[in-house]
Amino acid sequence: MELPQKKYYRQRAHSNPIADHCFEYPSRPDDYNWSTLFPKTIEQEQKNKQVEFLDVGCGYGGLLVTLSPLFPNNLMLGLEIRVKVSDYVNDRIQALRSQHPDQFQNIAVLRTNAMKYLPNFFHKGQLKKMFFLYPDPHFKKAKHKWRIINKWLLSEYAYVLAEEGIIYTITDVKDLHEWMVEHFVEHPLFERISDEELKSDIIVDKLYESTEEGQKVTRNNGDKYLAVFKRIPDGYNPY
Amino acid sequence: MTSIAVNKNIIAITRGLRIDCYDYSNHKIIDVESRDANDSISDIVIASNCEYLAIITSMSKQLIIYNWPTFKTKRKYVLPRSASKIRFSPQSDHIFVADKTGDVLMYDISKEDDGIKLLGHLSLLLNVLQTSDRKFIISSDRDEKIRVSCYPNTYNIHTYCLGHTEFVNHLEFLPHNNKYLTSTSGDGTVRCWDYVTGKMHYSIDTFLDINDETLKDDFAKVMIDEGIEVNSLPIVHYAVTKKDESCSILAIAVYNFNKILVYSLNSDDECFRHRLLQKIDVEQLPSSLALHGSSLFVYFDVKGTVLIYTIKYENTNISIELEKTVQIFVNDQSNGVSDMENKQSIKLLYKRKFDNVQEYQERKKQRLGKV
Repeated sequence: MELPQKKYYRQRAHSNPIADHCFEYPSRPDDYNWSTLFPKTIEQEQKNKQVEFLDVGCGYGGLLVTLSPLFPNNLMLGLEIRVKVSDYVNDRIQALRSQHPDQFQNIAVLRTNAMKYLPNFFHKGQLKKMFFLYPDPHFKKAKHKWRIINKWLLSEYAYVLAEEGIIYTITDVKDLHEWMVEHFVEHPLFERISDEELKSDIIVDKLYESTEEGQKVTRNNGDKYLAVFKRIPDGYNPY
Repeated sequence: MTSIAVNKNIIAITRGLRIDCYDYSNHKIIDVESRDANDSISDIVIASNCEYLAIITSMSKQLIIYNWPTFKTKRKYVLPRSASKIRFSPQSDHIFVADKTGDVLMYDISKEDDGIKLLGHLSLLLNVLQTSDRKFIISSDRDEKIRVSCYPNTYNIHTYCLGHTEFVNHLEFLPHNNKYLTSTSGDGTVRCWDYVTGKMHYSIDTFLDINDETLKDDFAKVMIDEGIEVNSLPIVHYAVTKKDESCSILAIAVYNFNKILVYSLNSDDECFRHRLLQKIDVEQLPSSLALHGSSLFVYFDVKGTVLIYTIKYENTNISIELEKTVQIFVNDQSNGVSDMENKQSIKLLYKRKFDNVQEYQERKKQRLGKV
């Protein structure tokens, strides 16, 4: 099986995340048949293995492919709302699996709307890492409500993310970077991880170049703004 | 949408911009002011301490709190967005608003401010409820979800109660054991949940008692013309009351079904069972239902009548009898909500199906065929 050619899968970068699209989703996480996404791992090895890394808006899937051999024991899922782009990632993973038997069994892609359906797919505290790489900046003020990071969505991400779990963000848009940092810092369930602490994290380096978006920014000599946050316990105490 | 609220002394019914408050001897009519000719009252609720009555309006987006029983306006707020539902806090000191953009707002009725936003869904909200210990806010939406958020730290989502397959329009605690939450949905089921764990403990499928495939098919045909696929008759109205320490009574109206289903729901520890007590024949879909004590109130706005039934418990036998018919809005020429408008409002709760995947897959198949 050959790797898919990207020219057949190009699609405009923006999508309205609030409109009704046609999505198939389970009413609860346990109703989903995960072995369709990870046939080898779930059918043959560990029946109860769950997704732990989630790339929200995975684009063409560069991060998944990069992380797959680095974390062979973790299941990773990319979410992508665009029909053609998610199909590209799927064809890419299928081709990689056929070319390299026993590899790339821990990555998969799902077409869904992450802003609406995360609780349908994931249990509370199930995820260890979430990635928001080069999200759509939705520049216009009227479209800010479409941004993947906002005060209320952060509560949903905090729900599916385990305590001590980590969210990675990177963007080439300074205004969006500041927006994301502001919202995470203000949210009581997240705290920013210092640059010093990040030095020991092998994932951080991969965030700059592993994705197609990141490579494009490099080609255009753009800046890249990274911010990483940790899910902390709720400090609220009524007594 | 609810247009009737009852407590032990009074029935308050809405039609258009009017409220008829009937104390079993006199009618007191309240007219809500609005500049919009198409405006109407979209929800009414009585505080559990019986000191306040509150309403919201659809177009002018007013939230008005009246003192009880003087009916003087206590507070008048203008909501930022159109709301679907209002509920008082258990202590009757705050009011929660579930709005159509997905926000839950809270107003302290001792203050004249703009309220505060407690939480947000990315979906039209249909209901909201606070637990009696005030530790949680429960909200339900058009995307099949029931969310349980901590209170006052609402940024912390405690759990979800997941399982409904269509919009979730009503939320009520199980009256004889408020450890459990009950919900109704467009999927035609009533479900019973432990809202602390999010676990579903029981489900009643009303279609098993309707058992009319033609009725369901007719509804499906009407909806498919609008691009909506449905597989069940939606529950429209829902009311609950306590019978005794181990049993509650549920009254349910299902879309296009001209009978009201009345069930008993028993629970001993975690073991639930239900029984259909009666199917009450009605001429048309009622505009609203309410239960209070052992009385069932069924409101028909077009005819301007409220039928009051009494639930009689004799040993293990439960019977339901029509006690009286009350005429309301007498001499009022304004019209009630038509079938057409009912259909419009139910339609908005469903998601339109448009399949852009199949078309893409067809084209892809052609492309790969050429190579």
